[in-house]
Amino acid sequence: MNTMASIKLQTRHPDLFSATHIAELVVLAKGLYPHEGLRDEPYQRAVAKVIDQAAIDAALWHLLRDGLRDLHLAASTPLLGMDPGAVNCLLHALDRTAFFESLRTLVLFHLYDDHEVWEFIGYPGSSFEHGGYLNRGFNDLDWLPEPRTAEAPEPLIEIGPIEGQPQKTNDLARTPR
Amino acid sequence: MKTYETTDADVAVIIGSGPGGATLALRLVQQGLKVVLLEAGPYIPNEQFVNDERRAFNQLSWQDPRLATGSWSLAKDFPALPAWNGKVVGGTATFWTGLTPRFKAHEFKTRTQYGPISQASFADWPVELSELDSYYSAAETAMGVSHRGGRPPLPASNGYKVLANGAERIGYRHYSTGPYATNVEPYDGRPGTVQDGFAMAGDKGRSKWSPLVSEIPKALATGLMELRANSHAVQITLGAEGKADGVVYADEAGVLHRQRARMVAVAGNAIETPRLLLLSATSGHTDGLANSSGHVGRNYMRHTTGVVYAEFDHEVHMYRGEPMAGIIADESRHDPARGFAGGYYLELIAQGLPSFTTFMSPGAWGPDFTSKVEAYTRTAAMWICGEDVPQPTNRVTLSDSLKDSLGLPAPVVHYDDHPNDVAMRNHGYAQGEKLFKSVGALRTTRAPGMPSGHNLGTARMSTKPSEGVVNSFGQTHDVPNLFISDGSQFTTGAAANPTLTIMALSLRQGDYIGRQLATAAL
Repeated sequence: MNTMASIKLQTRHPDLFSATHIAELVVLAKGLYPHEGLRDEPYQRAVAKVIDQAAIDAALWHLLRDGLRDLHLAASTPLLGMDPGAVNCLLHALDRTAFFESLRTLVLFHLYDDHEVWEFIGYPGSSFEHGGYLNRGFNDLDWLPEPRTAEAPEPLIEIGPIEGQPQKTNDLARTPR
Repeated sequence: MKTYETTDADVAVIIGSGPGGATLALRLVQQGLKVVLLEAGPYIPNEQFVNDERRAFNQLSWQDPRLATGSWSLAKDFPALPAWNGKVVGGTATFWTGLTPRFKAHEFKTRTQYGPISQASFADWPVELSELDSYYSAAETAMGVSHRGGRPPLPASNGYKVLANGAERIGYRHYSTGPYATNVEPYDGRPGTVQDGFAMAGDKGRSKWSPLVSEIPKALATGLMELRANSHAVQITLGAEGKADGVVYADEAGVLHRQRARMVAVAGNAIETPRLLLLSATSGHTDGLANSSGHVGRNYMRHTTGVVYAEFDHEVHMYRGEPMAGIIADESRHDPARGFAGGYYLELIAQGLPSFTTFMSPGAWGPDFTSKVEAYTRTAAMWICGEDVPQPTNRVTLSDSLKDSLGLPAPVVHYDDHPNDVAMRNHGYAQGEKLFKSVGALRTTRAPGMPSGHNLGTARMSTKPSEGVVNSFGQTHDVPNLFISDGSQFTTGAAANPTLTIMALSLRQGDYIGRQLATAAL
């Protein structure tokens, strides 16, 4: 873990969150949504957005500060430098607390809206300016046969079983009429 | 654009510019009526839509305070967002996807066909399929629906190839890429789809039908309609004879205005429509306007839904192409031997990464979750869309604490799953898993319902005034010149995606209003 070393962007709201607080939130963010090979920067950006929101949302600010303080009191080793397995255990212990749930929801929201994460996963985002996918592979899947696109020629039987498939009854079932 | 004075008492006021309201508006101006179309949201032209799920959500969605309560998963997963509605000219249809199955004959007669079911308020509609056939055809023509009227089917996208091959392998026959209300070829002055995959972000290319690209410009072109955007209706007023005589609405600055009216039609979606009726309570209508039956807000339906995601060895790239151009109808039949009444469709669904991570496993985190995220480009998905059970206790009410920015009570949407809903959903999950495994799925994930665009039933149709809010033409039993013109009218929800039926009902209602006015009955 080199989280402390790589923190350089969050000087926003230093009166509300110290560099240590921010680094700890990044450790938790990585523990929540671990992606091997993904750089720290997307997690840092996600945490920065959480902090921006906390700066205009007193309830969230209070929740994050108290949550981190409780972690310091409860943890036998410092969060910074904790190995991923221990962070995972810590998060399991926190699961369903308001602090955990708020942080999890916000990190999820911002992390997967980060374009570096999109690139890492393989989601290209906006396509209209490239002419969509009409000529860029909307139908390039070739590991299955080409299926029919029109409707089946025969009408659907609207009431009753599919022909040739076994039936079983259930208490909830009601026979029509 | 034609404009009307707020004191002009000769206009028909329609509240809501989605499929129901806009279709009615066009039908009325075509018969020479003067129309003011109120829309709570802004006018945003297609070119300003964005290929970005989060920004598009903020641009197009109804985000006023709401609260979900009850045993359904939404109350836990997304309590502030029970439904995904539009707040924009064109309504929810600006971000709809486009599947347009018709209802089946028996789905208009569920009480008769399904028999008594505990805690269910199934009822027969006061209208039959045969009375809607011509209106269904007219709606399909208006939308340019694929697979109909000689129009070609959508081509097979990657996601459809997975869905259709799986369907074939487990013995289904009734799979296809539509009917789907998006142009394959140019139609009605709009181009064919470029398969950009962003129908749920507004569709910049105009190949997808919505009122924004069809009914609204056509109605404006007659010179008889005024479109009043950023106009949020807060009350329908009654005149001395017990008829609706105006609509009070707030403009963008929150300032109230009152538009006089000869008739009023409400098409605000099945949450805002009953909310407006309840907010319009007045002397003689103390429990809400047109609510002598007590049914306003009750029998809220939103379809029995869920998603099955499946990972494969090979690439799928679900985000490419029309996100819902695939439908399987085999399970949409009524077959009580499966253990539940009613039926469901299995429909293709594709999501961008932000939506995929939000809805694939709400509340999940850790390495198992992120391994599924990393399989995104190798993942296909299907959406279960089935008939849910109407229950009088599933209900939209006014909050006694939560308020919107205008200071008005926010809607509380209470919904408990019925055992029939649970049985149907579980059947759908199992069939979806079987389907995907038949074409090589490595791992499947069951996801709960998402905030729904299908919101129905809160001002239901009935023959008897004591059993519902409106008659078969959407005319309220209590106030003769007050109409409901959206999915709120649905007596029951059927398995089908509702937009086509909402449009067919609005076309039929428009003809009825024309006849009534011609004979001075209104």
